Amino acid sequence: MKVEIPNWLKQRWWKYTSLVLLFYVLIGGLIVPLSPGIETVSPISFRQNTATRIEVSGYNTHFSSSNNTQAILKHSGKYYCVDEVIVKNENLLYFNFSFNPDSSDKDNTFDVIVNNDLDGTVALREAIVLVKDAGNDSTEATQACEPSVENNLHSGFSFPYREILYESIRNTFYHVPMWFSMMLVLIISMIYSIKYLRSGKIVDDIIAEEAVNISLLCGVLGIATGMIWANYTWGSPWPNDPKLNGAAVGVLIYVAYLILRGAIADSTKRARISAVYNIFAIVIYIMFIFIIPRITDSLHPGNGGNPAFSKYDLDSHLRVFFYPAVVGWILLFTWIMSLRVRLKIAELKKDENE
Amino acid sequence: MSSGNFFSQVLALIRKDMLIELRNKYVFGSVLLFSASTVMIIYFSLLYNGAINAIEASVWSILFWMVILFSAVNAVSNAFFRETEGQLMNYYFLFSPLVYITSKIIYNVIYTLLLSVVGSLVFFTVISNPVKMPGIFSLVIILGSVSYAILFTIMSAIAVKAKSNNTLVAVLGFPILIPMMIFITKVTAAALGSIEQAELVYKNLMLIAALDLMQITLAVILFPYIWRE
Repeated sequence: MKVEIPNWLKQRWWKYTSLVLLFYVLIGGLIVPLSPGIETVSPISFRQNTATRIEVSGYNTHFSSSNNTQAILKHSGKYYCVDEVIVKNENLLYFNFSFNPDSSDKDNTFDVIVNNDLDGTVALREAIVLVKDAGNDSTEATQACEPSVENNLHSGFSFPYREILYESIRNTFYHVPMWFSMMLVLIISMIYSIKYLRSGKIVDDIIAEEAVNISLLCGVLGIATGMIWANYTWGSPWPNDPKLNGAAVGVLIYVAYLILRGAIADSTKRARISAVYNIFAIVIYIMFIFIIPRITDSLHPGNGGNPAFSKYDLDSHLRVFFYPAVVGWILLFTWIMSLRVRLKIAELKKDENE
Repeated sequence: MSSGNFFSQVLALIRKDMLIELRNKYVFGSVLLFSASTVMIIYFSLLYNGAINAIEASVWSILFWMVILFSAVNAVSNAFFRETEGQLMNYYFLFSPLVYITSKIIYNVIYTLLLSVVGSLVFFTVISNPVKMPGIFSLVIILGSVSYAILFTIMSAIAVKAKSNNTLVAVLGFPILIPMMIFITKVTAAALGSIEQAELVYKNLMLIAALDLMQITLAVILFPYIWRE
């Protein structure tokens, strides 16, 4: 019996490409800083018509090195100027403010906005709450003022600053490609299962099996990286999320595939029956993962009212690393698969020679 | 093969399976006993101080489908595992794979439907829960039973050829069943009146039907590869 490895598994260029891409993502993804943003505001509430000192702590901001740092408040669509801004250091400033609402004012939240030349405009939405006094309307309502802002965008190449995500936004390059790789490797497996049913060549079966093994690796890695990430951002390692559940179902289905393979002793029979199971499973699975997120809400970007990836990556800085990361990881996992395929074939040849 | 010939062959095979079933009445009886005793277990677990604890529609729906699930696995796989190697060889020469799988699917659909109907009657008698939408409820019972029957028919065919036992049917079938279970239990719960979203119910029913259709297509395409030996 002659076993031939498909040519594309032997070629080297795509293996080196994966190394280059992943090296670029690893280095670049870690050294690019986050955009400036407002981390916390304290106190988070104040009484009407009372001068209050509010502390604003920024992240990656340049409050003191930029000379025209100004703080503005936004309240029900209007801007309000603050009385005095005291810059403490690069990431800390205070401002004094007092506010008196008019009688028609229903809203009681304020967005805090800080603007300067270096950072552009940074904001924390619904940062402070106004506590209204009942029936005290002796003073005149505070008038809105139009702030003069010269520069809206910060300079420099940086990743978007998102509350709750912060620096963990870099996990996008590691967590998300696991899912892409899992799907791609499963599709390779399906293609080779179909090929096996048509040709009956044992090498097609070996590739289908190893692809499933690697897809399980991707699935487990994707779930693990996702669980760590979710624990810090959504507050629970296993939030009820359709994407997470989809990945878990995939892992269960393909563990069953491996159990089926283990249950059959004869190699041609094992190859044929597991190919049938594989094709049956992947069609149902693909239908499942495409339907599920559309009928139930998800915490993931782009689902259930959450902004999609493109909404918060306005300057496309994440994409510069995200797409290479996806391609790099897919190629790396295919490389691992090709090594396992060649190992299996070598073992097969050794058994025949003995 | 003419179409008349195809249907008469399918009918002959279904008739043969039914005759075997009627001859060994203990098989259907044991499946029924299995579901009845599971329902009684659930009933007694819900019993506190002589009164039954009311359960939510969603819990009712998942308990019900779980009972049917385990009965259906036993019933469907039995239709395959009772056939000896000689019998299978005989069918292989007499019938095309399409005839064989069609007869098995139809037979198992009838069997599972019967189980679900009897099971739901027992469930309603013992753990009562008013059905708000009887039409939707009967529709989901039919579509859900069809899902179970087709999936376990294919998985039993695989397990028989793997020369394994019916534990493998459950191992292979349960993970693939998860997608269908999600829709089936949701619609059942809605029919019992926990969720008031008619639009979602119809959408889910369509999805169950689509998944059933997909399973039948796959079964017909893939079965010849398992059949050939």
